[in-house]
Amino acid sequence: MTSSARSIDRELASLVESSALRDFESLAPLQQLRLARAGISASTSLVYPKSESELAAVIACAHRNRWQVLPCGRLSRIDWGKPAPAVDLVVSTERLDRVIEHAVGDLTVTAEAGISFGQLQVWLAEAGQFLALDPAYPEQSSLGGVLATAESGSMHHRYGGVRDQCLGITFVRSDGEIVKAGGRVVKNVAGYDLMKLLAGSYGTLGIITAATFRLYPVSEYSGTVLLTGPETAVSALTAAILASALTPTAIDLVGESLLESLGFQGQIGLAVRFASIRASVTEQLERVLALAPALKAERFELEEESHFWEKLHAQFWQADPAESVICKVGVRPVSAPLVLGEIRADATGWIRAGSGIGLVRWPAFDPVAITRMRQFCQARGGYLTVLEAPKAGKSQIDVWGYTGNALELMKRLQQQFDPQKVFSPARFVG
Amino acid sequence: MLTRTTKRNWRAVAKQMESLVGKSGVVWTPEELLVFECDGLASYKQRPALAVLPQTTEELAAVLKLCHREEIPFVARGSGTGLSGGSLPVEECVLVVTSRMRRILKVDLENRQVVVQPGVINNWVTQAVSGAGFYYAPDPSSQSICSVGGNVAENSGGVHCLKYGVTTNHVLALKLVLPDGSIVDVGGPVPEMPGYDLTGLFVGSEGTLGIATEITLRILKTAESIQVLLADFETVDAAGAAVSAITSAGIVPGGMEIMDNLSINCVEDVVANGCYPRDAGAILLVEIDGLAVEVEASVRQVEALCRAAGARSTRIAVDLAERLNLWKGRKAAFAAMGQRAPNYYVQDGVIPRTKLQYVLRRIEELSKIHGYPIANVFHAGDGNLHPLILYDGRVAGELEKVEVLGGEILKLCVEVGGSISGEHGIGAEKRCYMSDMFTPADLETMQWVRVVFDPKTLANPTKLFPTPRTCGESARSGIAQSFKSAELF
Repeated sequence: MTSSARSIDRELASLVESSALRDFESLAPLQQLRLARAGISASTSLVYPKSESELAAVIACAHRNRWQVLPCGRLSRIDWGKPAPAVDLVVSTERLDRVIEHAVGDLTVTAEAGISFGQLQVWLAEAGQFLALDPAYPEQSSLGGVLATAESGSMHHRYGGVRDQCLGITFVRSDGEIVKAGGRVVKNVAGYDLMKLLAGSYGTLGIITAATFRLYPVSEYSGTVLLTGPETAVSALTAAILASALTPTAIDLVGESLLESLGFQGQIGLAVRFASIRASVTEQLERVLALAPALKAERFELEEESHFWEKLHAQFWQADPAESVICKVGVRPVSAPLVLGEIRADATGWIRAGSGIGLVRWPAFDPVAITRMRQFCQARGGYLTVLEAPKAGKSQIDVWGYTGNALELMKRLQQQFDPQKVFSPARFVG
Repeated sequence: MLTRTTKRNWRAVAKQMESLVGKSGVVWTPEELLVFECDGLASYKQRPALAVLPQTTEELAAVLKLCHREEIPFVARGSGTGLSGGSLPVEECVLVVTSRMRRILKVDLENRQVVVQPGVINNWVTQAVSGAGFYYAPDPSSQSICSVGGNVAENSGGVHCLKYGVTTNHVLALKLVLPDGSIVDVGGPVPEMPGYDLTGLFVGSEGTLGIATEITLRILKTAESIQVLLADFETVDAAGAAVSAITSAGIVPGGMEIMDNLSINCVEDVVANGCYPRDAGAILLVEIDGLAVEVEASVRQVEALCRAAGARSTRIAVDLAERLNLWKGRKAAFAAMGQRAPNYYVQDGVIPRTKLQYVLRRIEELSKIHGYPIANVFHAGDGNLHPLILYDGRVAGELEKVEVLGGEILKLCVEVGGSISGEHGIGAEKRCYMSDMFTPADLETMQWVRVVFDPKTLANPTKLFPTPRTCGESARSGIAQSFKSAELF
């Protein structure tokens, strides 16, 4: 049921300060574009509660009034997933932006969901620690958004994904109740692991308001080597490194056009990242080079190497999503190099060799190419999910690409957590 | 529910089960059922009405379908080494035992994955891939007898989980038989599959959401170099300070363990390998793995940090035999308690690592107030404590008193921001303490998951969650069960 924006704002005015109600027009153009892609019209009410209890009151009100809510953080990836039909209210966690506890000695941090991911990393870096995730748009993302989309990045290779590093969560249920699971300690098996259920649930089971994450100490030294050359040689090198005792923190395959945009030549590139004590990093870089004497190699250390990874991120996640299409793909790790061989010259590919999770970007929506890539991934044990695409494009294609037999179970969970469909369940799988 | 209390014709159920899994797969005589009446938490006992041992996913699904149709509660059991009563039978139940599902279904070295049936023993996985230089990381001390299915149900840890994570971090996919007998596949050969992470939800659900019949595990490349450092200290506080210093220095050891004076002496009585100085207040074991150059440097740094924290002596083991020798006492610690007292009661609380000294002091005070010796053996790196309360279970009423003391320790863990269980699970034992950690709304939300998977509450009912009925009574006998030639923790 869609209520008029004015009557919603009137009702919310008794729950939140007037500054918490915002206009679509007041948002940055890119945020407007992403919201529009998520199916939100310019007349939809937007609310930015300033505390967890205020947010819970808003959701309880939505529940009472049978409004449909689109939960969001800082709008960096709100267009991921299926467009939401008939949303009455967008609820943002952006103003829930406190670090609740950085337990330095325990290597954990508990923060509110709306905190900027980039700012949190800066805060942690002052204590020589970091959250071992390198998701898309780190500066524009909220911690909650990264958690709700379970988007981990290249460091997955050494540290695992979002789901592996989240130790506890607090969230607001569809009936407005504030609940938690997990805890603030690094090891804990008490109760169901709702952190894993909520990670990657795209806000369909509850709005995450705070979370605790495991942290790691920043290493003394870091280095990356980029090897470029023909596909067969790079594939062989990838397999050799993965079968060796080397301990990279990331091992990513980079497609030809992405290489070119970074100023490198080659059919395919392999970026291998190390972080440890200096002697170990140096030795590992040298061992990689020794494995592939025929490939062209570039070596980066310290600031130069973090700059390389920032550039790689920036080139792939260009902040201009007007036409481009970005898909998340997965294949059995052994097939990872083949994904790059499969995409045509106009597309850009970036695959994590250890896990087989990757990203493909097309300059425009091309359902034939997407479907072909999806079939290719599915034939290799994997999947293709469309993250970013024009709204019209998403309506022509299955966005999620789920092929398993647990859909019924997932739908029952969604129904149990949100029987009134407050949280735009249509955005998710199925 | 009326059906639960009605006397059931178990002979007829046994016949039906036999038609599903064969005569040899059904155990129903009281004498044969005796071995199934408890798990590693031997003070709780309950004989099941029947034990059924299927061999395939299809057989197991047929068994659960029958249970579902007849509304028979069932409890899953792997090797029965669990320490929280997770596989303790409930009254009038079918015990589904996975010990005839012991095949390693697939070894895929190229993708670094292994697929196993749930009854496969934990260390068989490493044995299957070690020739190629791989291993399976989670290593509960009972790894020579515990099953992977049980590890999945309890989300088991181990002494080497500090750096590489616990079971849930190593499970990629599961084939599940749900409590209504239907079969679903969750996860896949690639992480982060579309849809909810039902694999992550299932791991650690303690047999309340169904039974996993095929488990896809990640395996890791064996480290190039491994060294173990043993340091001994005047006090536990000093050992704790060394742990903090190592963590703060940015070193992430594979494992980091502390044993206090009482534990050291119990172990030396039994293992007698002279590794741990009997007069030490505490010993600290630190294992470092990685590239040779890195391990060498880190071990030297750890040694210096231990010295700075007041270590009296240090010893470094490089080759395998020497390393195993240093670990031997730690792995036998629980079993060794038998020398000092007829029984021990172990807790599994977790605390923030920085609260270690405070909590250990409080445990010592509690030990004095309640009048029971407590030995402390713990995973210091991740704050997972295993206080062992020594008592004599033959004396009536002792177990109850010890449980009260154990409860005080758990409350202390929660009070400092920790958890009531780090790796053993809640099971039958700690369900009444769940309310100390979680609000009624938190628990209600967890129950939402349970009703979706198991609307009739047939899967391991009464476990994990507090109920008014179960939090007032329990079946106990106070007799310890021992597993020959296996270390349990």
